[in-house]
Amino acid sequence: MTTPPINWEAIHTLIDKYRQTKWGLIPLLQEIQEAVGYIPPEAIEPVADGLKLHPSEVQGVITFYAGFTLKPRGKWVLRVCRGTACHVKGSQNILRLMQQETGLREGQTSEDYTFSLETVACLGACFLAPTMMVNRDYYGKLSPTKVSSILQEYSNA
Amino acid sequence: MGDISLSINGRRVTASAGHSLLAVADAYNIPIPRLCYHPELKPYGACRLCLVEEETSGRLLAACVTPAAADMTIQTDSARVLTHRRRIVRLLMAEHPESCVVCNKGNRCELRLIAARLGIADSGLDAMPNFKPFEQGNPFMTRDLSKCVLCGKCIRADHELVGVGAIDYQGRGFDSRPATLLENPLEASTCTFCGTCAAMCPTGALGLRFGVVAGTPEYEKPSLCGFCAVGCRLLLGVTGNQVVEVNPAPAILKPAAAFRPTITSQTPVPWFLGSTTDAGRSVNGATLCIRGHYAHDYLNSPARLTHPLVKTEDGWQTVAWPGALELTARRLNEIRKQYGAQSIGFVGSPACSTEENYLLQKLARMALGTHNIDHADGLNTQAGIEALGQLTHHGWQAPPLADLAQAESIIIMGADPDQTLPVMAYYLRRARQAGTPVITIHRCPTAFDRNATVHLRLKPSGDGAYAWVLSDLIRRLHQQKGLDAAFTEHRARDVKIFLEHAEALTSDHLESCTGASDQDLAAAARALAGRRIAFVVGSDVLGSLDIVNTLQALLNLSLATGSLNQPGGGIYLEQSDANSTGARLSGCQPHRLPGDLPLTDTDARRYWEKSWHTSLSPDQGLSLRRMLAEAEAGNLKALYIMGANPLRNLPDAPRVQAVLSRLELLVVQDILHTVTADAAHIILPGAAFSEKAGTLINLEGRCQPLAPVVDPPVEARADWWILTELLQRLLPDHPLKTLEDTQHEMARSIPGYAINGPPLRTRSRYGPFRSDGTGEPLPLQWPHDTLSEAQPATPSSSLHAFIVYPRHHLGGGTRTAHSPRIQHWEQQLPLTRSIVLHPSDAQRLNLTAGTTVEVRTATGSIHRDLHLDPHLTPGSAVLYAGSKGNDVLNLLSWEDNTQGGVMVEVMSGYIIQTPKGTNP
Repeated sequence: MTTPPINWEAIHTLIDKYRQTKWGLIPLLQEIQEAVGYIPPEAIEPVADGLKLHPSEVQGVITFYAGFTLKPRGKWVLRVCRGTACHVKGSQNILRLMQQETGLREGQTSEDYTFSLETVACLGACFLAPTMMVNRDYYGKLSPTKVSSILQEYSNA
Repeated sequence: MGDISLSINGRRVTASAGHSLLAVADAYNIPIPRLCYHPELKPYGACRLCLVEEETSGRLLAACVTPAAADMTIQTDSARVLTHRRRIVRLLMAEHPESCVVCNKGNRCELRLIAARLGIADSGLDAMPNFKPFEQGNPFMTRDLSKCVLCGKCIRADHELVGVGAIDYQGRGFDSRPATLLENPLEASTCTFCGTCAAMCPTGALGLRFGVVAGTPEYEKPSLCGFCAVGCRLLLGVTGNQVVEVNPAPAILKPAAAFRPTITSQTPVPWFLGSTTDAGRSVNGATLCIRGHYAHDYLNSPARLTHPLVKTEDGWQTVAWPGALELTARRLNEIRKQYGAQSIGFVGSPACSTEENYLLQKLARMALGTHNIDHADGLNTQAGIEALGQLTHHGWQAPPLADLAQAESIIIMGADPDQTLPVMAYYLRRARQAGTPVITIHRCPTAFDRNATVHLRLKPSGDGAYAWVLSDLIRRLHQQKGLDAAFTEHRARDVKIFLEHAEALTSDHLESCTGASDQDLAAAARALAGRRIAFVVGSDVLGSLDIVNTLQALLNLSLATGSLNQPGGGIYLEQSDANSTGARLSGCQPHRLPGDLPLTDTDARRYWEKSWHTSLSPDQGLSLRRMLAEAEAGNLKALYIMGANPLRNLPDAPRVQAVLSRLELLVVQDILHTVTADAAHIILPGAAFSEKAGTLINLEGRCQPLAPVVDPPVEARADWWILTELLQRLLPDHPLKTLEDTQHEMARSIPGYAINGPPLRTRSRYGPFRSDGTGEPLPLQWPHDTLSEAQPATPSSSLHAFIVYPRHHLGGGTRTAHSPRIQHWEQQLPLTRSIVLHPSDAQRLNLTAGTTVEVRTATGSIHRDLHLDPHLTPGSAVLYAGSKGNDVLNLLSWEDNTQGGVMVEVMSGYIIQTPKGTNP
């Protein structure tokens, strides 16, 4: 399993963008994660240098927030809602199905970096329960057939 | 105490606005337990053990972060508070391993102490296993995160006090722990092993690794650090008459715990030579550096001298003190009779106390009638101090380091305080963190560059570059109206003339000559405009040939910006040894009498002749190098060296060795069997700083008393005792018999040493240094001829090598090399055994990284591993002092200055034999 190449140019452009910004660390980390898919550990030192912080501080912020990841993720991040409403509507079965279909456990990424599987406490769309997100798109009122077709669609995308 | 009135435990107390409840309770000796609070750190409110109850509102408040308010009714030990406090401790204990029996923290563990006071023996909760490995990858610290209570003291000490940022919290909730970047071991992080975190850890999560014994020392006593000129206060832990642990002493020693001054009962201790500030607070607060914390295990080295020794044909012979002193006195007298007083020389020590240096120079000037007395500072900053003294007419004295907090901007010039004076570097980092612009100017990379607002990298060749850059900054500041005209109006003269000269400077020419770009200089001028500047001047400037011009340029800038001798406008020199100032003040210089008075001054001579009831020799004295040169020529026959190791610390050791072997008498008074001691005829075993009384004067002019903490080993004696005995034998009616006698004589007669005497600097004839408002304005002088003087570097096969003094050694490393931990650490630092080159130079010279290369000058050659660093300026190289017996100085000749760097040839080579004279 080889990690995909990192777009260093994009990272350095972003660091330059935030060099003079006060309280710029979290927005910068978000943008890096958006552009690269994750925050490469090798980027911690350049980020710290750019914002004149200690690298250990930057790492502290990254590891504190569940939203940041230091591991490369798949092209499509599947987030299954495990909130109360979704649970009542059978999200456990949805998750189990997705684990079967993708061969991944929670927090894992496929070898070809197509999918990452994650669970979320609540997506805030209980009226659509059970729900999931693929990157930024919501999918609601899920059923096994719907999940299969969604996954099918993304694995070919 | 203040204007707010409240009650704690039913007792009326008063507080000042902004003080926390904890501070108020502490002031009234009302005990409140705490784990995460430390007086040197910002309140954090993490451990919640300092919970107190506010009765009116019924709220539970963390006392460390709650400001005292009027009419609060606080209960510190109500049933409700105790229930909560016990619960917190029980939860902490549920996660704590049961390895107290083998924990080095022992009875000093704050968690254990608090649990005991709350009567908690067993948490009564299910244990939460928290398995973390016990780490001891470096020779200094151990780490056992299973004992971590997440108080964050280590992280906050690192960030707030030391400013290195090697560790921070990682993770969240139960996963959180202090960690380095990428969870590398400390050895692979930016940690400098200052040990501040370990000294602060309330439990055994971070511990000091022990050299001699494990566990709690028998007793702890305050002392001073014997290494560098910062003068940190230590707490020495002693077991079995051996110093086994070193920690920073509490920043403010309570009067009962403070040393008793020996001079008068009213003496405020310590006192300052120049200015007066809060002298009760230690310089270092809760911090220390790698040397102070760990290198003191040299005190227990097997190389310590324990008996007087006399060299015979059968080798070293142990003799009793009376015999050794008798022999030394007789031989000195014989040589004086046979060859005259000028044939004897004395070398004092910036590692010995002020009183001892005073006695030694008295021995030279009074008992033997010669002014051949000198001392060697590990970084050779004497030339700089001398030059600054002349330019300011002895008005200069570095202010307290705490003044750096008031500085509006700081220029660090030719200095690497992170290596040489780490605790001063903490002050600089804290100032930078608080937003003070810091500009670094150097010819090779330094640790501070990364934090600097602007970093000006100068070309390696041409000493004049520093002065040119400073003059150009005045020009730019003048253009931006960033100078202080109101200040210069009365206190400076010749400003116009100076500016006329400066207007002729052009950026292009300046850049091609000095390497400082227009853009960087403009940024520096912007950062400095309208601000007072504090200066830190390092060995790269102080050891250069151009030193007087550079310091003149610095004074110009300081004066023109209205900084000179103003709060936050100090000039600090990178002095290396604990008592450089004391050695200077006590007269351990050939051309200066005690009190820093010139020998050529008739009044000063008469003053001392009267004080000592003697007549002083009319001859001039010789400096250390001149003494050696005279010895080489056969004119100097005897040398008395106290606490110095010229064979390790002077250039060209083989030549020094040859000179020492020509002497008819070499007496070495030292604590370690050094290479120099081995060349002696008589060795007198002295006592280390921890074994004797006396005073040390730090770079701020803070005179701090020492008290003996342990006894000297076996027959070794305090150096003042040895010198007093010798004085008695050479001058039988000499009045000084005890240390107190000496201190009284010094206090009576040395201006500056006298507690109530006038500060030294008021003698200056220049206005900026006189508090009474009188005195001449100080002139701005154009310190250069023409810019073409600073020649651009010509590419050649030779490189400009800079010598870096790594922080784990002090100067040449005589003492630090006897610390097993430092030796062990150096083995893990391949860089110190390397020469560092820019990759392009390595390519040009056809050298491969990692191979052994020969580094050669006309004087000598050494072998080093080749290491490459793209941050270096091409054409320069970096070598490290202290390693391999400090053989790097064999590259230098006596005529070279040790600090300004040296031109070296680098070629591939293999070690055939170890060069001579390279042992510790």
